[in-house]
Amino acid sequence: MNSTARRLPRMVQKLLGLLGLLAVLVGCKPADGPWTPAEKRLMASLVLTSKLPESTGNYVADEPRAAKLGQALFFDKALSGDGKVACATCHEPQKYFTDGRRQAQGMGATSRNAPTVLGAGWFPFVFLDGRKDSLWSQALGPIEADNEHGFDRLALAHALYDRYRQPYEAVFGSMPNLADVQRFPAHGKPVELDRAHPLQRAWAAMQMADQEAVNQVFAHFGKAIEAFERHLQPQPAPFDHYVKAVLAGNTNGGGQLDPAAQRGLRAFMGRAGCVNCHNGPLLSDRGFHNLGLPGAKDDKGQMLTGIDGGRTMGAGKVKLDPFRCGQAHSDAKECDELRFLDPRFADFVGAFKTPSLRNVAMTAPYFHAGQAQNLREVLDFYRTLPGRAQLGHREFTLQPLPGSVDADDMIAFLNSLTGPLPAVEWLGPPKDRL
Amino acid sequence: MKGSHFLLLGIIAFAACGKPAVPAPAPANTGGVPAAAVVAAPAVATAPAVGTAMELGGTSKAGKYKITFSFNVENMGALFAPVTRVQHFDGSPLPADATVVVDATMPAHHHGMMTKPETTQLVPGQFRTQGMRLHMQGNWVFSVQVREGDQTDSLDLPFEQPPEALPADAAK
Ligand code: HEC
Ligand code: HEC
Ligand SMILES: [Cu+2]
Repeated sequence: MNSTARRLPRMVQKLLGLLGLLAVLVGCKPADGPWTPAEKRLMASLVLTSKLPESTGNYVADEPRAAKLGQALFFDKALSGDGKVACATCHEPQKYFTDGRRQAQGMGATSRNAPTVLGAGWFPFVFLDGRKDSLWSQALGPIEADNEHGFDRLALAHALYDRYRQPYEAVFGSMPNLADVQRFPAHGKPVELDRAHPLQRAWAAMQMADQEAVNQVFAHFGKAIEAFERHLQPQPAPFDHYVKAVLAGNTNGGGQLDPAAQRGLRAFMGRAGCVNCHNGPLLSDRGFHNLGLPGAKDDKGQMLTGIDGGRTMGAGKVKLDPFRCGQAHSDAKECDELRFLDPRFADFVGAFKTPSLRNVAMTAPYFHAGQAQNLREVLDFYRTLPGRAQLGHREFTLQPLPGSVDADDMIAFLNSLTGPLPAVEWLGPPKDRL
Repeated sequence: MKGSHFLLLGIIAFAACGKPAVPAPAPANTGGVPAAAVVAAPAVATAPAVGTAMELGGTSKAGKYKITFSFNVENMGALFAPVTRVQHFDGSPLPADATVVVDATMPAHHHGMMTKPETTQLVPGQFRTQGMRLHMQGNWVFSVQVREGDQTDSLDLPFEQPPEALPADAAK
């Protein structure tokens, strides 16, 4: 009696030990069993759909001639202070519309990483802090930013008048008489906090009606750009083909994902918790979260100064944006996104937009200021969650990646999200005359 | 090698492969799902489908009101506008100056909604709340608070938000 009572637990001990040993030997991999119904339901929710949400407040968003005009403008370096910066400078088609830098570089250095334009139209709030509520109003920002295009709205209006008048008028109707340089000086823009700024003074000297006419041209510029950007969509990737095959009853998923990527997918949807935030067809909840990232270095390895407030700042700005939904130049009547946005939502402090993970393997470096050079560094971050948030607090749900989640598996899965670029006709300036 | 060595090995191997280093907080309303489901997803098997017409309800905490709360299950992240119906527990109608406040939180995640909803009275005892948005799948709790004069009473209603619905063209 006595001896069995002592030996039984020992058998259990041995069994446990052997089991553990086995787990080590097979590399701690989770069971590669068939997908459960819950997993299938979840992976179906991640498949790319072609149903692009409607544009906010742009009546030419789906007008082909507007798209062609926008395409030309997107690639036009003349729309910059030094004649060297186009949208495509920081959003290069061959780099999946990013620039390969930690922080973007226009006429000057910026403090943020250039995200892709592919799929940007899916997000109710644009920019990494969501300070714009439409793609068309987004496009107005970089034009007038000193460190990006370093241009101004009067110079832009003149450039459109001189070089794009015909295609512009075919889409938007007649332009104001910009040839009248008394009414429309060559340069000028509102500069809110600096009344003495020469561009602000030139702007302030104009008639109000003429200012409005220029604002209208400015808004139309954005609307043409958006019409173009709506053609820049992520394309189905091996992951999508795999899920469709699995859902159609093909258990090996048409061979689209290798076992490592399948294990990565299972962890992504399960133990790694990624799907909490990276969900839906773009693998983004289109929301904002604070990951508690470390400060960023620039390309020379110097720490960037200043702490980025992220979404708290962006939510406040979008509510005041003169080109937001519901303002004169927006064609939208209902602005529910903006109306119910709560800029004081506590977890907006230090939060940034959840980026889409479509084509993510092609868009290094990563995070809002390029804090990670490659996907391995991204996973190292999620593994250890080093330090504390610079501002606010790290999202409570974020837990260090468990040891059982293999970084190579996860990277294999992330690689399977790379699809082809959009149709080649959109990857450069238009071939034919406008 | 002694049994205790095997045990040690087992524990080490298990620790290396098993749980997250910091255990996830327990969800408020798991329905028997293991704690890891706070960050993991499999609980979705039990969530209602997108498009389902939901009617939740019950008696408020202090027993003053009978409340029903109806809405269509939306894709995660979509704005929706539930309707709340309130009557006194004895069946008598709510006066026109009574008000209702509706909120939603994810207790296990320590957060609420990213929006600030607005509730308006449709007719006395019936209210529509606009601007609700559940930005994550998983376990939420709606709270309906009724105020009459300086008296309040409330009801918590657990709800599991499903993942995004299978897009119509995805299966093709
Ligand atoms: C100097 C480099 C640079 C130039 C030039 C530039 N961008 Fe960007 N772009 C960025 C950076 C950096 C961000 C992120 C900035 C932020 O969030 O504050 C960004 C963000 C965006 C986004 C938002 C993406 C998202 O997911 O929210 C879009 C769309 C975009 N740019 C389009 C354009 C267009 C159109 C132009 C030309 C009018 C342009 N960009 C010019 C660097 C640039
Ligand atoms: C709490 C929400 C949340 C969770 C959970 C989460 N992410 Fe993220 N992810 C984000 C946000 C927000 C960013 C952008 C953060 C920033 O730039 O400040 C991001 C950025 C990324 C990026 C960089 C993309 C780019 O273009 O810069 C990758 C890759 C990524 N996440 C993968 C993952 C993986 C893999 C997991 C699971 C291990 C995961 N994420 C879990 C919210 C989350
Ligand atoms: Cu949550």
